[in-house]
Amino acid sequence: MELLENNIIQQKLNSLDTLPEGYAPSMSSKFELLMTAAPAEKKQSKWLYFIPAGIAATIALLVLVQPDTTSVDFNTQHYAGRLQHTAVIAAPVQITETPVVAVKQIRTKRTKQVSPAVQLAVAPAPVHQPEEVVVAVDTTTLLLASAPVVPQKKIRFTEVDFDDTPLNAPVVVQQTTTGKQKFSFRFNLYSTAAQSPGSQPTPVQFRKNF
Amino acid sequence: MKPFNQHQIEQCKKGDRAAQKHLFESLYAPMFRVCQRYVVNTAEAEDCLMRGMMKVFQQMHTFNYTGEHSLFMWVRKVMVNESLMELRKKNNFYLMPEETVHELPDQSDVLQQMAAEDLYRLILQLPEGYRTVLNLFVVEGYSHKEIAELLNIQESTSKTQYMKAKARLKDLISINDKEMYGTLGK
Repeated sequence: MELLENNIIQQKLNSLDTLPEGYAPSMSSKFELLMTAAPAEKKQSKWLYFIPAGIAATIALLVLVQPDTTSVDFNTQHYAGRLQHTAVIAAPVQITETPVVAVKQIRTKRTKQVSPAVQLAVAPAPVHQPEEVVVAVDTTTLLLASAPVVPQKKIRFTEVDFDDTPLNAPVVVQQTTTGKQKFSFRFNLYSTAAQSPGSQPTPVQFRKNF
Repeated sequence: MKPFNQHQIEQCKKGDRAAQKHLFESLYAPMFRVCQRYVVNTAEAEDCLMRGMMKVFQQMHTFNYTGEHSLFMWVRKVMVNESLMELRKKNNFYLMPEETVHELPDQSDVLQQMAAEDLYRLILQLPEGYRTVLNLFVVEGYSHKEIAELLNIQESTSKTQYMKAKARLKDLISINDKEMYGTLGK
């Protein structure tokens, strides 16, 4: 029954091939409107074709053009300079201060080293000196290992002998006490204050802030 | 269904203006009816029709002639798709909430005697969701699975919407029959 009903509905609706009552458009004007609208669509589609083509050509140019050799040299020099700098920094460290201070120095210097992966990937063969870098790291490790093991305690003060001549480059040491009171001192800095003519410049300027 | 022979279609493909105009005028009325069965509003149905016709003429070179009614069926499919796009664009395609579907007596005799124009008018009175599913299932011959894919709904939803559409249409037919003849069906 349902199928019969559906067939009747389908036949009746498909048999309607005339316009509804009260609706009588001008066929000629509608057709002209359609024909004038069609070329406008074609023009738009032309632009839609050229824009992706331009984008594709730009991407192809960017991908296919080889990089300039001068830029490679610049990068090589840049990394070579970094490597040399690293070699200087990674020189064997003489531990003259207390072990705690020496460990701080080594930690600070090791962070400045270029990682071996970057050296191998970027640096050219003639400039690259991996042996020196590796030796420097090993020396540091050995020195660390040979340093006397002192149980770590909370350091409340640091002894400074003002008669000692500084052996290393200027080192800034900061120590925080348990009371959150900071003091700092700097080696190998001469006082900029006016001095008497006969007096020797003080090799150490000590500043404290208790 | 309007029959078209292969020569007419080839002329249209070549861009013969007279052949294109003949095709346009022949298809305008039946295709307007197709569009209006989905979107109801006359102006919107006209817009759908014009957009569909533009696509037909632009894509005519892709059409393969398989019989004298093949062009008519192809154009009708284009119009249905345009109408569904119009419904989605308006974003007012919604399905009616669940409600109990009560059984109605068979009305095939009433339908048989009913004028096509009256039936068309009653279908336009159906809610949008009911009307769309009914049109796609009964008139266009889509399966519930295809309707579910077209409308992005569940297959079971399509079935229930169709059942409710039929029930509502029978109600409308009964009311129309009562108004016309003073009886409540047969």
